[in-house]
Amino acid sequence: MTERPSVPFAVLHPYRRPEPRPFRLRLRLIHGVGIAGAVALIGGAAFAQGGTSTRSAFEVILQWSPLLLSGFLFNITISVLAMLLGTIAGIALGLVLIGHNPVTRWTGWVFTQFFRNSPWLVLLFFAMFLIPYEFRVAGTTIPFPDWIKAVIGFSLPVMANVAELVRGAVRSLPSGQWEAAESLAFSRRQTLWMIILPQCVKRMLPPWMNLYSLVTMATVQASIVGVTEMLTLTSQVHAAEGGRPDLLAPLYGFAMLCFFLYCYPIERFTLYLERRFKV
Amino acid sequence: MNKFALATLAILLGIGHSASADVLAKIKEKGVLTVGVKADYKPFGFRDPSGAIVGIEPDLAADVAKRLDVKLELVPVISANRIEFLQQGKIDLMIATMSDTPERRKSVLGIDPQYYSDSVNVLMSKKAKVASWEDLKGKVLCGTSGAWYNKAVNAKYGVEVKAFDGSEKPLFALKGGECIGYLYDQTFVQGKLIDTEWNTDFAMPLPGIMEAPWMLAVAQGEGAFAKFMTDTTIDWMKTGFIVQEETKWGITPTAYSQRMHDKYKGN
Amino acid sequence: MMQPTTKADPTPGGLWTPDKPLIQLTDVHKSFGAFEVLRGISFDVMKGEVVCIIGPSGSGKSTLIRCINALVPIDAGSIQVEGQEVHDPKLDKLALRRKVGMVFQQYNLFPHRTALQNVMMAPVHVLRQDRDEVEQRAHALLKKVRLSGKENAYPGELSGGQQQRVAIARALAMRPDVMLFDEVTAALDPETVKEVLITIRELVEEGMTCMLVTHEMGFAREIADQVYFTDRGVIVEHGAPDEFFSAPKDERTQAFLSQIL
Ligand SMILES: Nc1ncnc2c1ncn2[C@@H]1O[C@H](COP(=O)(O)OP(=O)(O)OP(=O)(O)O)[C@@H](O)[C@H]1O
Ligand SMILES: [Mg+2]
Repeated sequence: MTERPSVPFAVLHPYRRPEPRPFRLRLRLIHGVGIAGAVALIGGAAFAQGGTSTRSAFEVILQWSPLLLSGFLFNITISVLAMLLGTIAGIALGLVLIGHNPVTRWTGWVFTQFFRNSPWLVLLFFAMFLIPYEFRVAGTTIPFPDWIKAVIGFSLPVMANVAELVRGAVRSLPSGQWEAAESLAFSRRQTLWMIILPQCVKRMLPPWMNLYSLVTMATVQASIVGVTEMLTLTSQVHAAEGGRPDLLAPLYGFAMLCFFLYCYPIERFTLYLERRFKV
Repeated sequence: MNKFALATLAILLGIGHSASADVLAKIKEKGVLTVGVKADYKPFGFRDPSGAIVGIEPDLAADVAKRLDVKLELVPVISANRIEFLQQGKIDLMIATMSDTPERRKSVLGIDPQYYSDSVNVLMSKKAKVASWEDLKGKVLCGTSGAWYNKAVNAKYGVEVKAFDGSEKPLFALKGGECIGYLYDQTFVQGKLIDTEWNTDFAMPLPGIMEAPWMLAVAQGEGAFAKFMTDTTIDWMKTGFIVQEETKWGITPTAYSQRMHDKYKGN
Repeated sequence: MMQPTTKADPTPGGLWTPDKPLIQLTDVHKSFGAFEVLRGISFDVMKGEVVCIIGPSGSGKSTLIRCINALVPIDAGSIQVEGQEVHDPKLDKLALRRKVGMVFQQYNLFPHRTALQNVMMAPVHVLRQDRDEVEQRAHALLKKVRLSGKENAYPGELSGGQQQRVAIARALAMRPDVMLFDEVTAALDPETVKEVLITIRELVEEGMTCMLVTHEMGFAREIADQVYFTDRGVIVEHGAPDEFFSAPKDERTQAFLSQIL
């Protein structure tokens, strides 16, 4: 109010939100301490034992890290593809949920609720056992490896959650947007794709990224159904190192650190977007 | 538990398997033999730092591929999925530390003679001066709860078995001096003794008891391939290939391997 | 489906000529549930005429105006725009809405598009007109509503009055035959009301047929050809503004005007 003394009533000014601070992932002291702590946890255990004949956990992880990281890359690949597939299917399902046809809408609702409220691991089992390991199309065999089935398995809950996000975002838009579009003779389809959905993207982005973080972390469940991802490799590395009990914490700690370093910035960025888009 | 869940699910869903008539023909046509092996059981099947699966069973698989004159593809399997993989046709042959049981013979075609055998043994502290099973009378061994032989060993040799869950806890207890040895599968004990972590203070001084043979398996109905694998297994025993493999991967040849070698090398 | 229609096209019946009412309401009824909002409304709007509707809150003014471009379906009666029955289920609603422009109390601009894009969207995507031509016209329209220089501003960066003028330009870009204004100044602060009213007056001076729901009595008196007073779903009284404002006949009209003036 002090900036504009000429107008006595601040309420007469259109409300403007303060500019949000630009996004920067600042590595503060606290982060440094955290990461150092994790590294110490990983490397420390074996140093303490200090056996001359056994290698330290740090050496072990260093030696196996290319393999372990390739496994981690695989987790990321699975999560990205599952998210891609699930998002495309989820948008389609979301459109069914907000559609006019009561039959498809009801079917879509049942579908959504089913996949939203099933444990991810169960969906994963279904995908694993319902999908054949190869398809024969016109004489050529298309292999369908386990990891692709895992992608499909994870994309099912993603689909249902994205459908809910779409539905919620569309519902949360003021009805005036629909009315304005209608009065300008836009068809329903045009209204959706040109006016409603673009505005929903902004609202959906933070929860969508949140979902992505969850998917990434869930991909380790694929190890249970035999996909050779990071957790599977971690346990195999542990076996190859003779199953030393003192290696358990450092090896799994390393996996944890990888996921943390990947998901934490996403989490921060999501928070930033949430603040930014807050209406 | 997972194994059970998977099997139940598979049955519930009534999943059939693509019973392609002749797997040998398929292997030859594709030029690839796909074998399911373990990747977490040293030294039978485990990873090297490059990510490749190595060990005794991958070597056996490689030998089969060589005999068929095709390339080899190894698929890592776990106990929970190895039978399904074979039934689905995802793997042509299973060499994955699978014990021979009547139930398993119902779902897959087991190969005779059994290529290997596990048995019961003790990972023993070198300080405990034990030379025979009878010497164990009145002593305390660590064990894994639920192992079928705990009771039998206790009854027969008068040794107390202190049971823990899984295999990590009894190993901890052993290192902590709660017992003089760990009563467990001999293959597991042998695997431990490859590493300096264990072989400096521990050993396996006793002969294995209560043999539990492992079988190779192919899908049901693959009689021709089964015959080929039977011949191959006998040839391995004849030439002493399996004993060589044990030595190569750092374990003491088992009584079973020796016996089979002796039996077949004559003819 | 999106063929641009020329205004001279004969209507399906081929009956309408400019000497007949452009909008004709006959005994229109509308209920929301058990609540009857419109209870038999009839009136005509001729081409070039300016009609103001006034009345207490909740009397059904917004509902009435929404019925005219089929945003709200009616229960009984008839609404004709250029001789076409609006609530005929076979009617091409899109064709109707191209003839009727509408401006809302809450502006309802598309917040993810700039002012210029807001104006251009419907002609480009609905009428499928040439983009360059539309852009030229959009610039002209924004200039007409005194918003030159704000073409690339997003709605969130504009004041209420500016947004409302963009909304008027957006409706005009469809070259409607009639404009409906529903309390378009009600959400504005007093300073900016004027700029919007000036814009509407200019439109009226150019001969645009207009229907306004408004609480700006001075403005209504100045520009209206006919003033209608509605209360509880019926038209209580109507007349030319001078007569209507200086000598209202009905008691309810008198009470309402005395309250508001
Ligand atoms: N979609 C709807 N569903 C149910 N009731 C409605 C709906 N739209 C309007 N109404 C009701 O109809 C009545 C008339 O509403 P309308 O908006 O037409 O009044 P108005 O004359 O425009 O009032 P105001 O001056 O406050 O804008 C109100 O009581 C309102 O609550
Ligand atoms: Mg209103």
